[in-house]
Amino acid sequence: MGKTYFFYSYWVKGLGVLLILIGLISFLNRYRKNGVFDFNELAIGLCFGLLCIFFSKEKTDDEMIEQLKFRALTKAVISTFLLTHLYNYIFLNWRLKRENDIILSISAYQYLAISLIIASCLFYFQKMQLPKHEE
Amino acid sequence: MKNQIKVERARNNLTQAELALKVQVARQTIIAIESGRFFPSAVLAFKIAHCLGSRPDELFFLEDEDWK
Repeated sequence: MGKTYFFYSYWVKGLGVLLILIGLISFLNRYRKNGVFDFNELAIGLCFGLLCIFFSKEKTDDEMIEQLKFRALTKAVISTFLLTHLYNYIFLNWRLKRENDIILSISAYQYLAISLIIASCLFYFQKMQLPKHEE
Repeated sequence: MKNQIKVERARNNLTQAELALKVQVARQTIIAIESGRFFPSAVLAFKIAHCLGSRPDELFFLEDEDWK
């Protein structure tokens, strides 16, 4: 004990929010200019931002917080893998009728972004569930 | 695993916040350990025992379920 696995300082969370906003603005700009939803661009912003948010220390960081984060990350990686696999199986293998014939598979950036979104939501939900007052 | 932290804390006249400060963890962690929702590592268990002036094996007890 004494050393933490989450090595970014608490202030890095602010940087994470900024990176997400930059990704979001860039995504909206691309749509406004070219009329294209570039989800990869959005995913890149989300990845960098959420990496900063999820892997930085909390205000009070201890082994329980680390365990909550680890559990959330484990569930998120497995569930995202299943979601990705299901999406790829349905949309890339089945001969569905569609307007445009091109459907791209989920990219690594999108996979990581979805994983981190699920992990962050799970972690902050579990943290909220913790009793705040003496029982 | 059961524990006697609440009893020992009362005996030492310490609040959860004061114990958390001594052990250098969040107060929520002490609450979770006391209520049996979180099991501390050996190092944290020793630290808590040290701060409460007792031995770890006096503070934490294994239950039958822990052997299954």
